Amino acid sequence: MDFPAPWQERRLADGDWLRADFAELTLIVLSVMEEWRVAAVGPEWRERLDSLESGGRLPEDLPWGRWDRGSNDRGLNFRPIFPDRPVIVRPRAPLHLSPRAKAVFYVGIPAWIELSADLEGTRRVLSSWPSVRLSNSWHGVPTAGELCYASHTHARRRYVTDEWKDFDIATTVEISNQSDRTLPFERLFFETDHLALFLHGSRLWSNHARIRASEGDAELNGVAFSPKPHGDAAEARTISAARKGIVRRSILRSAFSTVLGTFQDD
Amino acid sequence: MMGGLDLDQLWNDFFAGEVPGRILRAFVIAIFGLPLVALGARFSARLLRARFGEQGGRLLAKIIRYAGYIIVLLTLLQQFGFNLAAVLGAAGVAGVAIGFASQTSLSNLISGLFIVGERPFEKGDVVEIDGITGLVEEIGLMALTVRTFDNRSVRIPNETLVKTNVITVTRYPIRRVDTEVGVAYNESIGKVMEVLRGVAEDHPNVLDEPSPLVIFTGFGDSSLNFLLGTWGAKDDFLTVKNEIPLRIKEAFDREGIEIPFPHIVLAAGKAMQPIPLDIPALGREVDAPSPE
Repeated sequence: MDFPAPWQERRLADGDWLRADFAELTLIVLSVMEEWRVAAVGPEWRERLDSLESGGRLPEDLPWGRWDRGSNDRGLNFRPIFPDRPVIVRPRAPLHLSPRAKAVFYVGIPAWIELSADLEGTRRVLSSWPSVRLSNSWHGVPTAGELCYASHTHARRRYVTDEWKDFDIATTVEISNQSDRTLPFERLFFETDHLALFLHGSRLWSNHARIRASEGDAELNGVAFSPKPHGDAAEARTISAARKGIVRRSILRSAFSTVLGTFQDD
Repeated sequence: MMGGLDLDQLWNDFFAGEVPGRILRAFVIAIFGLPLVALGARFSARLLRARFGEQGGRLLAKIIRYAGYIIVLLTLLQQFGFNLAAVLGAAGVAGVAIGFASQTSLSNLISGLFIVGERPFEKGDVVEIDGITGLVEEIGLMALTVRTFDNRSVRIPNETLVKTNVITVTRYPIRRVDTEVGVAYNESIGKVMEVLRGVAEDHPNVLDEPSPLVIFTGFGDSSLNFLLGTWGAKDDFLTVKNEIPLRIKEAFDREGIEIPFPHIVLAAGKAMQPIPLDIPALGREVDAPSPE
């Protein structure tokens, strides 16, 4: 399938290199002496790299990773994927959902970038890196739980293209408060293994999720996944499949769980 | 039939006799008993592993295997006419005698069983016992083997483990790193706390939740003292412990916050008069000048 830049297929002749920027991440790929050499660097390298002319000599102190390849291997491509751990998303300003109300939130999760390249004639994944390095977070109690990433979001109610960062995945969640009490939306646990990635224009989207929150349903098991993104992006093309496949209804206790907040008396 | 010799008859007569019958029975017991014991021990290990952990399961399975071998051996002896009651009686008497003689070993053995049941640590955990810190290498019936971080092997008797405090450093998946820091008295407490919180929030290995702890711990001799408690995954413990002080120093330098060295103000007497000087070369005491 033909994807637009920066996701399209690329070819590198022996001795050539390319640079690709993804939010705070810069990837340099060099094809040399039957090796793929890849350096993943942060914004602190931008100035030095900007001053390089196309095809010029690369700095020698780049932190290279090396993969052995066949003499005729030329092709490579980048692909956006969800982070390799669940993400706990917190709205910058907590929002309270009125009793019996329903609302759609647009949550941005920075994509990871996966690099695949030909190795002895077969396209294989070399590695993946975060486009924005998120800090760690913990889902659970100090004695047991799961290591996650933490992300802060505006949790917007509408999708405004200009306000969206290029490599943030627009993840839409419809939360329906089915109780008679106010539900604070304080944070949301994203089990990203069941979310696929779609390309709508040049923007990244995930499939839509619906959560029904009712009192006494501490685990929020009423999570339903749509196979497609929300709204106008429903016609988007799949660019990365869900790691563990898309499930129609979450049977996982942790998926999209739970930690919306505690119901409050009005 | 061979030359008047009836082989079938000979065979039957041989096995109908007392000694060959016993040999055959012993052979059958050994052939089936020993593999059965080994199989049973392996099966038990699998079952016990879930309840008592990898090392505990292996240890209990070893006990079962040895007990099984003893039973097989006793059964074999019985086939050859040994009086088991007398053997067991003698073993009992010997057991009491040996028990008195080896109280420490028995204590270690019984303590080992308690530790296996309690599971305070697993193989690979980092433990602190009596000032010794290292990785648990083997949980034995008599002793625990710990490999220290400078690669020495330490054998700690199980009895000691039952009697002393054992800290399992890596038991829980996350840990808190506490960093104490002091700043000069002329710094703003609020600003320092804000900078410390920023240092914690900006470090990718510091957990967002549980949130970092910033505490003003008091007025020290030479500094205002603070504690920064940062949580991290146990695998990131050393990274956080090493990098947080560096980042605090960088942030304080950037913000112009002074980390003071100890100050001592010397004063003599109630009236803070100048200190009399004794100049050895002159060999006499120089009077302090009058305030006028």
